[in-house]
Amino acid sequence: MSALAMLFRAERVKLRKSWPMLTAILAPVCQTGFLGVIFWFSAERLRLFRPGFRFWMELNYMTWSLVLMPIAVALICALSWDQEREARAWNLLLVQPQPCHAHYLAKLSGHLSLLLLAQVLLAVVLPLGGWILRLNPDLQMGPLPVAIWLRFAGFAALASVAVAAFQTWLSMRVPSLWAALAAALAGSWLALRWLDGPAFGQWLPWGMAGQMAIIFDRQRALPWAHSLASLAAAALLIGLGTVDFGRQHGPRA
Amino acid sequence: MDFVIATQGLTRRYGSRTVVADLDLQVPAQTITGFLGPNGAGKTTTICLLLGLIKAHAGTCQVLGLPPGDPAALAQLGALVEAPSLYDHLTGRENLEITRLMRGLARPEVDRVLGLVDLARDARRPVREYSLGMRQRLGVALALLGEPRLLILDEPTNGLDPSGIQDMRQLIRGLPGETGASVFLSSHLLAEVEQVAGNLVVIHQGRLRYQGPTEGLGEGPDLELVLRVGDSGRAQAALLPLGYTARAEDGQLWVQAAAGDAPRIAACLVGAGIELYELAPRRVNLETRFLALLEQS
Repeated sequence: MSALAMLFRAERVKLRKSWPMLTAILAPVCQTGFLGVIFWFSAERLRLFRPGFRFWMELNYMTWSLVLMPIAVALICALSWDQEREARAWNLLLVQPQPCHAHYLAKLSGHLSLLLLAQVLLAVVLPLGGWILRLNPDLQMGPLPVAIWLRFAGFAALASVAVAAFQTWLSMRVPSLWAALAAALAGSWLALRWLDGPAFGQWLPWGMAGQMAIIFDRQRALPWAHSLASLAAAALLIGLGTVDFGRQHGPRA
Repeated sequence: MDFVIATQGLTRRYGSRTVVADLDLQVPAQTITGFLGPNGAGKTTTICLLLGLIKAHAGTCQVLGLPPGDPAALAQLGALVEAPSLYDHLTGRENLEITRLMRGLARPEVDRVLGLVDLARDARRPVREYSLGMRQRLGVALALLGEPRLLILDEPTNGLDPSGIQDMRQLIRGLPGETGASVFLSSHLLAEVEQVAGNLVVIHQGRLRYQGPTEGLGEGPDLELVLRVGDSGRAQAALLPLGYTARAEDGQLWVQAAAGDAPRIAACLVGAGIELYELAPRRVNLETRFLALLEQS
């Protein structure tokens, strides 16, 4: 078994009963519940956006990509590194017979796995919420738009990789929850502001997630081409983070 | 002789301050070696150098015949450096499970070390509920995972109650015989080290002050005679021609001599007309010799 696989299995044990795990579970559930309540009592205002089920998906995935996902990633990464700091774990981790960079990559894999769990939960909870909303005939929910559902879920999952790569690096360097949250919200706001603006805006870690805002503009298709730029940015951030971790926590000169 | 740790001229500086200076260590295999020194002597820095956590500025170092930090060496050693690294939200068993998975060990290994440190009953409790002593024992259990050839323990008895210290002492004492492991034990509890370590390394201000068998620490015999006499000054003068140096302390006279010399000393003092009220042998403990060594340096 490779060093990364061994460390990732250990990482999964660390995440049991932890705040990062709780964040990954609560973020999609709370968002869906909150928006569900608003949706239920806004039938009059939602007429413009019918069919209801499609709008339910659009509203949730836009909110997720622009607000909840960046916040959840920031919380997961900051809390997960805090866990290592509180345990004063470096002396334990670095005397294991594994290369130093593998510890960073295992940490990132742990964050990505929690993010995946959150997105799978969101993808499961959304249709369930939609079916409950169907009980209100004024919402005219209609059938579940399976193709849109799958497209949104895939796009949001790809968009979150670069955000996780950035926040993993940031929280390793800066031990502050507030700094992580501030960076997440500022990045998301910039990505939204530069949606059709400067080209480098798309290279921001939040660039691809920001593109989710175009889904209300129904004649436009999701810009899948951005996923290449986003994944390339993620790869760059992972590389830089790994090197920086080695400098920070490898044998000190 | 086979050495598990060998350093030559090992030096480490922090800024302009030299914390470890020109250290030549040789730790024999399958022994317990005590690593003594007062606070700030450079013990933890030396341990970090041996584990490859920090780099040396000069000198060479080999741990189990390999450079420090080499994965092949790390796979064969267990270490407890400073306070144990524990995840408070997890149980004792889960904490061990993390290290087991990182080292790719078999599952029964966790039960084995839990039994060794007597934590099997509390293994399913969250570590946040553990006492300081239980945390320390769990830290040692983490180091024992995988039956390492070399154990490097930094103050393992910190926070343990007297019975816990005794249990830990028994555990450490039995390791070379039972598992073939060598133990490098750093401690400021001198009496503690004396009871388990066959060899000693003493450092002070980053420099090596003594290396060798425990009983060889310092100079002079293992015993002193303590005397209560009428006139200390005359007694000192009377003993000098016989080759005994006596020092007066707290109204008593301390003479470096073996128990067998007691009749000769008593006869000398009585013969010189000095009143002798008490003469008793006292074992020179490691602490006295250790402090004397530090004073000399």
